[in-house]
Amino acid sequence: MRSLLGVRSFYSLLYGVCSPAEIMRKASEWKVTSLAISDRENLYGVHDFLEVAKDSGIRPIVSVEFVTRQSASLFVFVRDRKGFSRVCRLVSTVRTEHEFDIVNALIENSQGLVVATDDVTLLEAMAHRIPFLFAAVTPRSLGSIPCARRLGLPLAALEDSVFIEPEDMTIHSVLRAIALGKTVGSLDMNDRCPTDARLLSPEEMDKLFSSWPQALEGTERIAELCTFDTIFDGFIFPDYMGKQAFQELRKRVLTGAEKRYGEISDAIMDRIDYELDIIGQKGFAPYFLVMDDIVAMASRTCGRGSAAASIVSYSLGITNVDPIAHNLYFERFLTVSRPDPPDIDVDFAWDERDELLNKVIERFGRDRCARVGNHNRFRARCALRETAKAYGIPDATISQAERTLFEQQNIDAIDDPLWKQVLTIAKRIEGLPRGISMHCGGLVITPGPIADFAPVERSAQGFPLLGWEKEGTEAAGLVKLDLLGNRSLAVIRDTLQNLHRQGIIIDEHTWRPAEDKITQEALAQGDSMGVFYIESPAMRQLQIKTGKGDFDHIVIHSSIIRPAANKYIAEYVRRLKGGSWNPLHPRLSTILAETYGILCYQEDVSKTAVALAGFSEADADTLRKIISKKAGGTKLHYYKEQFFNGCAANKVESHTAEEIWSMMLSFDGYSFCKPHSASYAMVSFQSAYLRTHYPAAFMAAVLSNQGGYYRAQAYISEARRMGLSIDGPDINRSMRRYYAQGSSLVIGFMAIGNLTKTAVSTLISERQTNGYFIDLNDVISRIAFSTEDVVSLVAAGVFDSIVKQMPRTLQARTLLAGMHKMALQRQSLFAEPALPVSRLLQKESQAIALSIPNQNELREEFATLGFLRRSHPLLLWASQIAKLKRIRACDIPAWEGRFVTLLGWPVTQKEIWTKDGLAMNFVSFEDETALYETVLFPQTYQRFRNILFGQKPLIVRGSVQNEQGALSIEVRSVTPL
Amino acid sequence: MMPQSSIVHLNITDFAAAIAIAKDRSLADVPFVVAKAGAARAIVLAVSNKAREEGIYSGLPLTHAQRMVKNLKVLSPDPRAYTIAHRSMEEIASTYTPTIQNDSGGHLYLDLAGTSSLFGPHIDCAIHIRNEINRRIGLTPSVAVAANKLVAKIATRAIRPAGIVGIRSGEEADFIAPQDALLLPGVGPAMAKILSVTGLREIGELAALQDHEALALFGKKGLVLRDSAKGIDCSKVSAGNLSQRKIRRTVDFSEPLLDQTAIQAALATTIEDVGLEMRQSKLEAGSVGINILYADGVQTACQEKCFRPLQFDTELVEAACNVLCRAATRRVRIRGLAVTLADLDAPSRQADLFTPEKLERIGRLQVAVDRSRLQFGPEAITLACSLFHA
Repeated sequence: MRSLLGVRSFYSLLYGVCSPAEIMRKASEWKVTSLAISDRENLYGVHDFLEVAKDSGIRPIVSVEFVTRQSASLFVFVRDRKGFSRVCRLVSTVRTEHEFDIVNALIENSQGLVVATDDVTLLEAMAHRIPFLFAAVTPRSLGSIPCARRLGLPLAALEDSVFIEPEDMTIHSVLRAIALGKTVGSLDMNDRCPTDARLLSPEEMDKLFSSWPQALEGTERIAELCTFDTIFDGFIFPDYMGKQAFQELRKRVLTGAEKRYGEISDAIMDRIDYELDIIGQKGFAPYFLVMDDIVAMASRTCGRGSAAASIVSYSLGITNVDPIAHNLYFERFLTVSRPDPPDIDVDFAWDERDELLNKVIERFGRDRCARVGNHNRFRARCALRETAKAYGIPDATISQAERTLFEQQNIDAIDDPLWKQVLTIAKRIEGLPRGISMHCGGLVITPGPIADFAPVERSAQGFPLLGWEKEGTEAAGLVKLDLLGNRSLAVIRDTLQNLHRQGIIIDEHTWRPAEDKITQEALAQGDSMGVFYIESPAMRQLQIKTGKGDFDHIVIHSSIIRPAANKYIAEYVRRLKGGSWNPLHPRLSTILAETYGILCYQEDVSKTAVALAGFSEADADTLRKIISKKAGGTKLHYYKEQFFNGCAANKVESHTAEEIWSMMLSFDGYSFCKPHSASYAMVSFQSAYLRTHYPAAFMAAVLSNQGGYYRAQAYISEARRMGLSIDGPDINRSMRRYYAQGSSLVIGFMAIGNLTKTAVSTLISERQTNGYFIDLNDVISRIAFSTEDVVSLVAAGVFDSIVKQMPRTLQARTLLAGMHKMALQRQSLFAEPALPVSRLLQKESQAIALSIPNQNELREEFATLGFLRRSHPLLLWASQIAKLKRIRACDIPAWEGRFVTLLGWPVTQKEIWTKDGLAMNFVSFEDETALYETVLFPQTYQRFRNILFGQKPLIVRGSVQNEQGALSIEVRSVTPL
Repeated sequence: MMPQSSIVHLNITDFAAAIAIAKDRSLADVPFVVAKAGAARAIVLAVSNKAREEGIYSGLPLTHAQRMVKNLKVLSPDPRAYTIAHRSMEEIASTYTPTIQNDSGGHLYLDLAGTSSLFGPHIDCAIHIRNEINRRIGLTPSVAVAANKLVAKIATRAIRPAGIVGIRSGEEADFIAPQDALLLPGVGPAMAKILSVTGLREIGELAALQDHEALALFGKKGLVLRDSAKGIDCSKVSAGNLSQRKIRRTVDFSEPLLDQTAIQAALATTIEDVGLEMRQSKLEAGSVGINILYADGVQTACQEKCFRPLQFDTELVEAACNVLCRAATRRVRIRGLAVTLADLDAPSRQADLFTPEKLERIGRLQVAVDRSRLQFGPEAITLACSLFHA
């Protein structure tokens, strides 16, 4: 026998142990001809399996194991494309319908499938009703033989294996313990597979079934029947207007281009024709039309990624950056030779995205759409924790070991034999899939029911969910749309709406924020708190260092700020400021001219590989992808060799090739292509423009949408520094969200901690219906707040404007007493005539009236809002601050090169690791006058890290440093005030 | 003449931390916390003085505390040590009065009424007790003598971590009025917020509230809170129901166990011991309880009423295994377990006219087994399922 069927991989989640590659390797050693990996009720691993099979010379057989309610196994093998479609449908139904009867479903339709089971009852039920039915025998089960004889069914020998080596049983037990929430000590027999469920070689199978040669023949017969081994059968788009799609696209593009450009020049027309030609050849027109429809459903969008290099996308309104004006490289998006489908990522306002996804699903049909899946895998820490738990080790001990291993990197400190075993097993389960979740924005739309193309289940949120990850989805030809959430789009939307309410209307057709000089100047000074993507301290410092705020430089800055490129940033600033430099190689002088000779964008990697090493466009793009996905190992090694050989052939000196290769590797992990950076820069400019010209409305929107880089307190301080007046929260002015009135920023009720949504909606609705509140009695007579809501509202100073300097303590007591009285009156049928509440309460309150220091009110205000309404929270420490000898942050420039003492309210911090693996930190502080940046080098950071968190003032001592024009404090010490 | 205050409250601040220091004096100068290791988001349960100086307090998330103090020592709760300490304190106190209320967490209330002729003034007696606790257990409680438990508790809170205070009868209100309102038992974070926002900072201010004001500010609990602020407390020192009959055995494993079979074997052996003791006392069990002590010091417990009273080892083992399954809720190795046979009573089985033969046989077998074990030792004859442990 040379075919192995019924083998489980680790895609039988928390059950199987080995990867398809490991199984394939073993099968290759055994010179197996066909192999069927049959995972439990899923096709999660089918693409991995088919991929590894390609290089092995072994014919893969697509297969699934179904388990009936009586725990009997049914192995289903795919013969042809129809069978694959059927098995996708069956897996989808099994995973979405609890009561689904797989046996009847197979009896009803098993087209393109071969079925095998060792369960006698099932064989009796299915015999002669399923065309290709085999009675399975396995190394542990021969029970089906008499039944097969009786019913005249052919036999087939299946592996029914769970792991390769006998010692893998331990791994299986740990996985089962994790799955069932038990320990390996408390698993019972039914919880795990038999101890001998290992993969047997063809020789072992031959020997084992030597008395039943017909079973071995049956195995080969199944292998012969199942010829399906390629899922990809062309790209799968939704059907959009049939053959008319291309004409419709052309029409829409030309209409859109007219709107965008006014007049369509020859250059524009040539570019449109060039792109449409490629799109037409590839048959991608329906995809663009679908995206066009989706984008039209949203208030505003930001098409990003390589698609922003396309004039078609720009004309359709999918993207917002003119690819011609900004010299964007279309081939990064689409070429005739590249085999992959277009990938358009579109951002939507974060609070509209879920609704939009639902709308899209309704528009194209719930049975034709699915979100893309993510296979959650064990990461190192998780593998360690879960294995240790399976061995009954307490959490505290696990945490201690975690610290030793991951933070102190001290593996030698682990000498306990139990822990050594845990580590060995954890290492083995690291990388194994353990569950499925939803990709953040990927959506697939198919021309027919999606369950005929791919296995679908239901996500925890109720969305239809593909059983495949992004890569598998693409490998199957399903074209993914990425619909993502973006807070800044909501910020821009809300700012414009707020302005609209004030009668200020910005015409978006003529709005050119990137050309606004004042905005550019503000950005050049690093004034960008709240601005999309360029508000972090590192980015603001870069802006200050370069002194550049124009669109082209913002595009560069958005891309060059990435973790692996730190060492190139200083060099970039030096060159930008006129420092001398030579191109890395003459052939790169034009390619990298706009980025001062530094590889900045993803496509620079591809272009460089083409120019220096003679890569084809397709190979260069693959190299770029491999580097960005941190896909090291053999693939990278292969391309590295190709690169160096190519460079050598082109007479590029080896040290230059080395230098360029090292710069290319700085694109591992997180990096952008230029069209993406340009798209982001456009959103940055829109928000920067609004911040510059309409600061109150902008900051209100930033605070309302939350989730920015900084805490609310930091934005409030910034608003104050911008000269805005901060008002409220106020009973007669505030809305739920923040909003602006001229240069006033009115705090929303949403800022008040612990205030219920009901209280907010009741208050606003009552005010809108019956007018402003006059005094506390008016409030008492109109709204019944809960005690907790009263306490929160009073602490936030919501009633201050209607009480004429009444202390908040008295406000609270008055309101609570009044509301209690009103509640009693409402309950009493024979209530006394209501006394004027205010007089009654004032009289009653006098007895307990106490004079509370203002400081106490401020503390409560800070605890409730997270900031103070009228001043910086440092006011709470006013007496201690008065005794401190310090300079103010706004005076730092005058102290350059000198040692200073500052007051520091921590705003944000970013911990990084040096080359030697030591932690250091960049901390942003502020005082009442300005924000300032500091750096704590490893030794200092190690000493003071414990006090660098929380919300309390610190005394920061250090020297003022000027680094390429940006001032920062090199900290010597940090002490609590 | 006003009656002498007779209620004593002994309060050991940060009891768990104090016990840890009493066990290991070297901890006295080390910042450490006691936290429940099993919890996913553990919070600090008790704080040493040194840790408190660093700003750590009970209720703080453990991860937060660990960031505040580098290499902060974290000790697991040690319920066994707490029980032993409580028992020792109770034992010391019981030589002075029979009326002792032994609350958890280092709180002991005593009623010394009628003991002054034997032991002198109550305050002196309280000092003796405190000194003896200090000498024998190494703990130093703060001590208050007052007319009732509430005032005594407020007083010990006011003077903690240590000290002695006596409040003469009739002077309760004067003593507690200027105290911080947060010292009142029952004031949690929500109540504290109301107190702060309404400006009520001292107990006396709370005591001055009218009924309707108390109700308006604090809802249904307002009157109770206000009365507490007046020092009103009529509750008695309750000695608890110590007369319940129980047979209990604990077993500590030489190393924490994971294997279910080994744990069940240990349980069977323990059941044989308690079963024998129970039958010798001519009793049968109405309920079986299991306490599990995990490797990290956390305990879980489960008790189950039996469908009918149990007498024989086989039925006791079966019931105990079921209880064990319910009690063993955590995925942590087990360090030890305790078996408790409770609701003990004399056998009430009526002799059936037609006793099932099987029961009769089991009974005879059990008698024979018990006799052998008494004569030749417990290892002489044992259930097969306990052999793993043996």
